[in-house]
Amino acid sequence: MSPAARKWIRITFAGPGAVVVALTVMAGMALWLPGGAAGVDNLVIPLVLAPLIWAGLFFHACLDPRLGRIAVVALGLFTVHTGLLTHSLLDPVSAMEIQR
Amino acid sequence: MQIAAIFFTLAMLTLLWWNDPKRRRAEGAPAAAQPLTLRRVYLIAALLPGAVLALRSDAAAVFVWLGSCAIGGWLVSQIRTSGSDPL
Amino acid sequence: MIRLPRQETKLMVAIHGWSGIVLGLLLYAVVLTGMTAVFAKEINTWSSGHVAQKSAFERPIDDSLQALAARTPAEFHEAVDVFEIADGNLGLFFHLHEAAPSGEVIERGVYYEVDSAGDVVREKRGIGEEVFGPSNDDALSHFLIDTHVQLHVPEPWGLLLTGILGLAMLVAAVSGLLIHRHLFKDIFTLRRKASPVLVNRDRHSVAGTWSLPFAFILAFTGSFFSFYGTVGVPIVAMAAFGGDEQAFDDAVSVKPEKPDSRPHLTGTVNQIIADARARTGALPTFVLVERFGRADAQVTTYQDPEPGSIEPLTLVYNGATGAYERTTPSIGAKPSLGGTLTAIMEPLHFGNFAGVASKAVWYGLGFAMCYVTLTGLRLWLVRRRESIPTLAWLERAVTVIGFGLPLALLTAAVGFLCAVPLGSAVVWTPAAFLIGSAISIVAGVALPTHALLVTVHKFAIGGLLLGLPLIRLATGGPGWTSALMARQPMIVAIDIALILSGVWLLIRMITAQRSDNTAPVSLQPAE
Repeated sequence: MSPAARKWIRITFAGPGAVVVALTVMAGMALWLPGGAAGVDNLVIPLVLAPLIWAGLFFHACLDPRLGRIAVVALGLFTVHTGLLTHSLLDPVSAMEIQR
Repeated sequence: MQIAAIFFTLAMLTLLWWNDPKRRRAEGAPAAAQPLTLRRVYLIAALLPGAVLALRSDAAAVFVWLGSCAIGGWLVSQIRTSGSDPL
Repeated sequence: MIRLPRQETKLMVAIHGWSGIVLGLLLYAVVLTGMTAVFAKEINTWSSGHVAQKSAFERPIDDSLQALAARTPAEFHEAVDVFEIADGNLGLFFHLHEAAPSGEVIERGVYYEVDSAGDVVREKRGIGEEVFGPSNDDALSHFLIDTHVQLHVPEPWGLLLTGILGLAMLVAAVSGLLIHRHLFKDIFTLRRKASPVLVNRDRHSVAGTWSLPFAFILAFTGSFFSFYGTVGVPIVAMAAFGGDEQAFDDAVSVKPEKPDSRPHLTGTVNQIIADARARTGALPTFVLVERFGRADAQVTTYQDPEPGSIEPLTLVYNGATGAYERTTPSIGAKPSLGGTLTAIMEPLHFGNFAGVASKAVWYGLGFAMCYVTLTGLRLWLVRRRESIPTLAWLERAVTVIGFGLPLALLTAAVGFLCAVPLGSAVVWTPAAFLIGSAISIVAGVALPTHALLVTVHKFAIGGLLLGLPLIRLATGGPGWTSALMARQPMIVAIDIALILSGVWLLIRMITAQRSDNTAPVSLQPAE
């Protein structure tokens, strides 16, 4: 892969990629995080952590010398959380049971 | 207690500032006769009040102490640079 | 401190530099107004010229509440916000919650302002955004807060913009930490007789190092607030409740176990406030009455944190009987990790958890962060000064904004003070800000040298700092004796702070030696 292509892939993961993955993770976390003592942790902790999740993805994309690993982490998180969200949208009843 | 903690830490920071090797080199001052061990003692002493406040679960005091010492440390580092326009 | 490989260090330096130069001036505006907004309540007291002897919550409220409820449509009895506003007046917002076409939950109802005699001095209908706009008395503090929160850009774009600036500050803080190899070794080193690059670099890195933890906290909490309602809640509500934001609100708030819509007089707020004061040692900062006039009415009082804590207190009472039920977290019915994390975002960002002490510290840290931003911009420019002469316009722009923004805020204060007696402060406060900005911009274009531009700005700022207390007195504000007798020492304190700041600035200018920084400038790699 040419250096220019590698650069643009890295920019994509650090820029729009980090935003999209962070938002997807924030949404998906509401489905797998436990509710906690008050039943609200899964709703508010993603909101609190969202800036840190984005920053983590951004700096990982910038600093990890291995492009493959950047892709695995970002795409892996995206795939898992998109899957959870899709399952929730298509089958809300069993998604609620999983959440409980 | 909180005010005493802040002043104690600032005093330790002032001692660290006074004998800071790089600062003295940059200002052309002779190297201070302060062993590294002593500087480490001052550093630990500077952090002790914060640890005490944290152990007392006084979160508000910890943040006020930390912020005051950050501002104080910055102001201490300004000493002896008067005459230059900061902006 | 952290040893990164050379390539990654170069990238971090580029990210740090470019995020700073592209967004730095806007970030400076947000941080400067935020620093000032820490004391918004005190500035309101200082500038409004009123000296209320008692807090609105020290007076009986029930009669006003009942009288206003009788003239307010029953649909708006779903909730009543009760809070203190300028000069000890009481604000009451009877409202319901409904979904806007966008899905966002909004509050719509009737807002009243009641003075100490119990007379309604203002009534406004509409949604929250419309009714909580600035009034003649609080136009200055309102202007400061609105500039900080969304740079006067309409929602949601203004909030998104400030949220992005918060993330930029987060990136700058982390990248600054990563690129500075000798963070602690350099922490006291401020070279005076060195090249402009080294002088500015030292100023920037020393201020940045000392304020680094708080830069991180303020950037993180600031972006949390900006994105919370605009992006966060809609997305989490979509995932958890199919987009129903009302369901999200219901899930995080405390609802009655058994709804009971039978009519019942809600006449216990006086008793509740007295009880809250006895339990916590302080008056509430805010009171929420839910399901007003029903048997299942609930009154929640919001209090400042207990000594030693930073998490605000929330006391819940039975609205029908006035009986204390429990102390509850702000979010959720029981203490939880998520509730605590969310509840501490506000005190960590506003610095209002320990009264004037914490506010003063947060103000000082805000000043340090403004200094870091401006010295960073200066450093970026100084590194390129000789090789790219066309950047002279940017150097002037940094000066115009760096000094022009505080100047414009001071002219806004002058405009406010002069317009309050005329009842036109809502118009003249932003107008005076724009006039001050325009003067600064014209000076930036017209003055022949950069040094003269800096000097003129500093004199103007110093003069206004000294003049503001006099203008306040001349436009009908209370003197120091009246203020102290009315137990408003903050009026005196702010006057003294302004005078001392003006004197300090003018003395520095008069005695400052212009350093002859003629050492050659050389570019650093990857900058």
